[in-house]
Amino acid sequence: MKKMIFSAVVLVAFSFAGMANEINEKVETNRKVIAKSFMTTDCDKLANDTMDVYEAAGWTVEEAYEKGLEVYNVCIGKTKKVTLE
Amino acid sequence: MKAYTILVFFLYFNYSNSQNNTITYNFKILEDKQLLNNEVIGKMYREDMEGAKYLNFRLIFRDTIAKFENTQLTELDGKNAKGALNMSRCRKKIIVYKDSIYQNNAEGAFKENQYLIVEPIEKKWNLTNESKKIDKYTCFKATTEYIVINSKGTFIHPVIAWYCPEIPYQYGPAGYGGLPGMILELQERNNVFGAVKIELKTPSENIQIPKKGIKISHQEYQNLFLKLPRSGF
Repeated sequence: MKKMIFSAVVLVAFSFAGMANEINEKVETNRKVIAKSFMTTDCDKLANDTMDVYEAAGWTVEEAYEKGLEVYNVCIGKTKKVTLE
Repeated sequence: MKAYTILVFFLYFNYSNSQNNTITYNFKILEDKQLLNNEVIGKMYREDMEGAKYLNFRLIFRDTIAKFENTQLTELDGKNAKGALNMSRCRKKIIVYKDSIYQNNAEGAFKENQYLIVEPIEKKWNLTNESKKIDKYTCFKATTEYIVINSKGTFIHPVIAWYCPEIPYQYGPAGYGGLPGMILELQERNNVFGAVKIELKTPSENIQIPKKGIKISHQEYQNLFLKLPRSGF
């Protein structure tokens, strides 16, 4: 009887431990997805803001776009891009 | 003897016409307070101003055709001049032939050489009596306007050219020309091209009008960028 109770307790304890890991993984994965979305949006905004400044200064759309692209490439290069792997 | 004389004259005539002339230009980017005051863009702009010092361009020309192109490496001793080259608007060579300017697009938003931008050469110049010496040549000032239409409106930028009637060709840097003499110095917005070496009668070099790409005007090409999505560069 005692062995049975002990086994049941161990079984339940391990189940909880397994569930905790699963919850942690989900939280970590969600954090990574949020982090990735946040960083991608920021670089886009920076590139668009750059384009706006250049166009407002009287540069051609082509020149403004090229500068936006330059800023974007620097931004994604400097930002630690997290993946879901 | 007569046939020999005619042959010599014919060969000389052809040789003279097949010779090119070459002018080397340096490049400067002047300050733009509006851009320099921006924290992120100001840093990039200063780097481009510095990088411009490492760029040289050359104009090779004959009677009917001219080619303007970058000659320096864009990375020299660790200095990066790519941004400055972008700002010169001369990443790709510019050909001038019979009052038209031809330039393929560079790699960027579109595939390299996807478009062939064709524009008439500028001819609406205001000639002045103001003069100055560039090298040993007396040059006169002419002005015109460079009009930019973008999503923020229409902008008119002054263009100042110093042309030299002593060099009787209607060409200049960055596709400008149409003046009664070679343009030895040109300022368009914040870009300044200045002649640093003038060589008349240099060895012949083949100049060809670009053939690749969909023919399009400058404004039509600019309008393509207005249609591009502004996210997920």
